Amino acid sequence: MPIRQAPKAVAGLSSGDDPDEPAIAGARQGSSDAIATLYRRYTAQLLRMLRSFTGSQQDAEDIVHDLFLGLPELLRSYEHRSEFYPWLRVVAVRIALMKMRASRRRERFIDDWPTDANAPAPPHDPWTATDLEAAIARLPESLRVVFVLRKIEDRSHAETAQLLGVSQGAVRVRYRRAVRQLRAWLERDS
Amino acid sequence: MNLSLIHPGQATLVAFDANQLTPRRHDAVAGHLRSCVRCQESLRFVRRLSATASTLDLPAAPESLLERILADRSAGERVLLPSPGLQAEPARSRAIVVTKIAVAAVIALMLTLSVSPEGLSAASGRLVHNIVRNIPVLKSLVETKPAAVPPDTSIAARSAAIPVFALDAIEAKTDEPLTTVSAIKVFSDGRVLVNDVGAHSLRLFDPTLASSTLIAGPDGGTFKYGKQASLLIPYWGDSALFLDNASNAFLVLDANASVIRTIAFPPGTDWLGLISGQPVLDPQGRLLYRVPIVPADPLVNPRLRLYAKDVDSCAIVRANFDTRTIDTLGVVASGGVTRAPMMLSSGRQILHTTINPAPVHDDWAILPDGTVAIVRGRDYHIDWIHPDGTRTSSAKLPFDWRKLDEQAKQRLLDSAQAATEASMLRAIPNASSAQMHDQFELIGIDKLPNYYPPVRIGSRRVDSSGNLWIPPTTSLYPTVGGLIYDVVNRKGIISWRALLAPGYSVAGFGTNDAVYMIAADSTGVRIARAHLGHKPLSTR
Repeated sequence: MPIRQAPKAVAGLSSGDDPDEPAIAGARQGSSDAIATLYRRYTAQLLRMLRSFTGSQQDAEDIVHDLFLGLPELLRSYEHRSEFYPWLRVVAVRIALMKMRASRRRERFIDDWPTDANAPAPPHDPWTATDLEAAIARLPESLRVVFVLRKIEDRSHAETAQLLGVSQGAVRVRYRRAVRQLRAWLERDS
Repeated sequence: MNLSLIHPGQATLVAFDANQLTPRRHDAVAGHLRSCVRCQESLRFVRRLSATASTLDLPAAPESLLERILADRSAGERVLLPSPGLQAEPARSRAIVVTKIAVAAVIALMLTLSVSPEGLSAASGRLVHNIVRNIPVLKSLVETKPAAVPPDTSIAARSAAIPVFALDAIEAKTDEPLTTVSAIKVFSDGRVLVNDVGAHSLRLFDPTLASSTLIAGPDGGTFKYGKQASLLIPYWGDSALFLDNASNAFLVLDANASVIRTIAFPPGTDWLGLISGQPVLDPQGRLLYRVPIVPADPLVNPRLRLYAKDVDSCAIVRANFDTRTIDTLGVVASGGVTRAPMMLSSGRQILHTTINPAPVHDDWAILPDGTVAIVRGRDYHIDWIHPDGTRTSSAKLPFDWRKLDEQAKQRLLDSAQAATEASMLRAIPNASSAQMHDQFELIGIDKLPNYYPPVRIGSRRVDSSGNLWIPPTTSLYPTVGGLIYDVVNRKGIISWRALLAPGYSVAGFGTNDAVYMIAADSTGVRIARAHLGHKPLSTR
């Protein structure tokens, strides 16, 4: 299924232009139906990003759980300056970074992948989206988050740098390193 | 400068591909590409990467996750989220804050321990453990139906794909009833050395398990067992250690369960510390055990540190008998029971115990290659400490999380209260309600977790292949009623599950896939042996 469904941020959006406004207003009041509406509208995109971020479907779902659990309270600070999804994504990224920092010292095993980072990946020629997804999960965290935001979420260098709290130069360097590493893994093994 | 001689970077190739370069730069890169095979391949990869990234599937949004979110909100659960308007706080400053809080908490805890524990019995420690193990609600947890919150479908899907193997029919079983078995040692020829702490005896059963020889008892055997319950620590090969509280030393037992030498305790360690430290031996013969993390404090009587166990975490330490040195390997959560000396208004000093009937534990084990596996109870994953000191972690293991709502929490506390009082009355028949209140206390309902913790302390086993056998707290085969063990391989993945007959739990392993089990009924405890079946039953 093609991606690129995540809407771009629009500065200075008025509340009347926001198609999510009714659901946001309801969710702010704690309405289960409104929370469910927002959940069904955006969780797939969030899960794809977070799964690539964390390398784990379960971790991704944990983050989504926390995100929607605290959403009504957090929505009180939402001021319609941008579209809702980019705002929601920023919160999701922040939660993910917090959780990943907490477990930074861990080297996660990825199911069905070699435990040794230098071991060859399963051969596929040509390599597929599944191979790419698994290779992304093998990237070091600092490269992975940059690559996911740049390539999967289609964020600019500037937006990525702002989200991660690093310089644009650092984002460029990390992105290049991520691409180089992915190429080494994917093309060597194919 | 001739731009066509310079290899463009990845970013330039991406911009070239998207027609985002200036005309001059675009022409230069195009010219370079015509003559450079390396950059042509790079461009092909960049294009393919973009094309493939655009085909990554959108995962389905699980309805079960939404139901869990809404159920948790209905139950009053809230979470404080980071504001999107603020930069993420640097991890280091948060760590400092957390460290300061932790240090303050430890200091506060130590200030509560500044009285002497004179007159307190070590037996109360064992009593507390027995209480926690005998809380009816916890025992019946595996028999309860799942809570209203449906299991997560993605986890359920992973879980459902794991094959279940049942053990074959029991081929041998002890006849004579035992009292309370704490550990067994299976020798290579099938004989089994059993530590019956209830009867204060060590018995060696023949391979048929039909008859036994008394190796040590209170009044007989080749050596005296002693007056206190003690430890049998299996070792690789046909040997084992027995903790002799009379001599404050380990007795090394050979294949005939004869004492061939003694070893002094590790420095700074005593009998009580080892009894509660779950000691095991690694392949190099070093002793690993856990010790409570209680910082040295000049205001605290050193003897109190002995009693301040299970504060909330313990260190796993490794003692080398040759060099008489100890090093620390890791830290494990050890909630459940907090004991603190307390002075009554009468002036009498007692050991006041606070019980958490649903503690979040970490369990741990040593694998045949010397790797330490720590089963984390918070989110059910494995941390490995390898023999070379490196550390890795598994992903979270699938687990049937069950909600502890307010009613369930209250039932748990009521059940724990009843079990506590019953155990207290068995130990001290004339105990008054005030005495019980002085001795024991349950934690507040607000401190109980919102989900049943997945790990039972001390329940994991390790087979000869290095697989961890873990019986999760919500484990039960639905149609048979026996315990199901998650068998976790060295990659940290549940490769299969093992189903036991109802009433049995795993005590150890023998050769040829033999599994030794233990079961208790009204007549006593029995040891049984069965082999692993080779045909999967089905998936759960």
